Amino acid sequence: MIKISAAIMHHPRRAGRIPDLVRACAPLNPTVVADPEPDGRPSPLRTAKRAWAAIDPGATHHLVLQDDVRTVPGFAVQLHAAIERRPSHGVSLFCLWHTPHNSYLVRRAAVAGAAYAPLSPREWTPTQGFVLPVAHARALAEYLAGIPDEVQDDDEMIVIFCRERGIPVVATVPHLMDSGLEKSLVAGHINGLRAVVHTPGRPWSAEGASATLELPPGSYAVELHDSVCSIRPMHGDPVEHQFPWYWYDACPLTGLEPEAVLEAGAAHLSGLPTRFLPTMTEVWAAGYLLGADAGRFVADSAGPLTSAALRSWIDQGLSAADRRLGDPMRNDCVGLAWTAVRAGLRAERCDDAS
Amino acid sequence: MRPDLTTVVGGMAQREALAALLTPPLVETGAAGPRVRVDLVACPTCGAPADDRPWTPPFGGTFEHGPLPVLSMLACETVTARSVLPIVVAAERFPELRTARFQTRALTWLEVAHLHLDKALEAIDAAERWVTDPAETDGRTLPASTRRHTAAVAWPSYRRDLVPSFLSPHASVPDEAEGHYAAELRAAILTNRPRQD
Repeated sequence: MIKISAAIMHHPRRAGRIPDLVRACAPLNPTVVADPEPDGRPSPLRTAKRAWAAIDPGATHHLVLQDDVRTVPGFAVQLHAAIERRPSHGVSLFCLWHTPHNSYLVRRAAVAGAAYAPLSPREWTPTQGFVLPVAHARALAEYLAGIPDEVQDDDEMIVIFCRERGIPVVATVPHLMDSGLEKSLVAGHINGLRAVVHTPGRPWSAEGASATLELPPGSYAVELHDSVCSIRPMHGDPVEHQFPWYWYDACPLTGLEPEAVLEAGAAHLSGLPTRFLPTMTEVWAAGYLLGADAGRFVADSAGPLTSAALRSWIDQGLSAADRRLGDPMRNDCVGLAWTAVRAGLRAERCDDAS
Repeated sequence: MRPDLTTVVGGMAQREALAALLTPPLVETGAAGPRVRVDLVACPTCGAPADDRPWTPPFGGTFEHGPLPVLSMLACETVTARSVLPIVVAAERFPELRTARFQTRALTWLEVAHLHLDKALEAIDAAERWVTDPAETDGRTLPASTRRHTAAVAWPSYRRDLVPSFLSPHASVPDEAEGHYAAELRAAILTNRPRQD
């Protein structure tokens, strides 16, 4: 029997958002936990300490939400179902579309048709909406209480907490919320970021095999940034750095031959106007590598959320110059990425890289 | 391929793999990280002029402020962000390298191409030893493959230019040397990559 308590981390500057957000959580009745020092240096950690301690009596799980999110219709029902099938896990309800490892792991799960994506034990935990079993939630509140507010980022601490205690963390696919597009109150945080897979018209579902599919953690992430496809090894490198490995050169890590990637794309790329070739080749490579990675776990058809995962990938991954080309370019990139994913699902890989 | 060439080519591939597997410095998203200023050199082979390009981190152009390591490269070539990792790591560890000048293999190749191939490759190999021995003074050549930097071209040329050369966009080494290098590089990446933290 799952019984969920909930708390909303709240800053008074966003007071206007609270009534709608509380209503959107019904029949859950979240406790609104205000920043105790609203005029102090912004620190999500300061409020998170209190929100994780605000557990209702008798609850089996505790949800903490940030006050700048937009939940999907039918949020509480989907949340209950998602927790019910991973009752011992940490469950994130959202992931930003650009993060170095987790965003890729969510896209890989979407292509594989999985309802959950395993999240990185080293990248910050997406805490826009995060659920823990209450025993872990209480321990987390105690853990956070010992950390100075100046550390600021609760997500950086929560990933350490979960890793040290061996708590597996997954993200729902699709997400149960999106960014509310509010301006961040925290210095250094980037505005305008969105979810990896947000499909409010298509609820999270445990139908079929999607919820039983257990994807292993990855050993690399494929990145599309500034219209360049790169690979980020998950072991050895820090999560955040500026030295991604160009996809062609890093192909040994994927078990693929770079020339096979290009050969598979030749029919789709050779007829394009030359000015589009650099970007479209990178989009092809990204989609193919993603499809080939997901293809380790599923048969040769892509999951129903692949399109949403690819749209968000293209939207965050094109250069400013490519974005200025507008919807035709965006749509062409999404279409090509789709074709590449399908081709990648059928790719032949060497076993020495997995 | 002659055994002596096989050995030196394999050693260079091994060096490039280990350089690419160095641990990058942590740079939080949106923060400024270490930079390498690029100094483009007009190409005496194809005539490419040393016009500046737009650069993205970790590269910086000639107007990048502050004391930085400098990488000279041909105007007709490009190297990847990952490939300058040994410069950045060395500059962090050894203060005397923080404003040092480095150059690509393609530039070093221009200096030694008049030699027999074995001697030319040995000279480049020696010029890369700073990666493991910073006191080495035979040169500071970047142990990295290179690609042609071109304007928009049709697919056949574009695809061909994605294939790196271990020496230079203009090198004319035997195909088997390029093939051996690629195979050794792949093997060294797979052998030496971290499998866990």
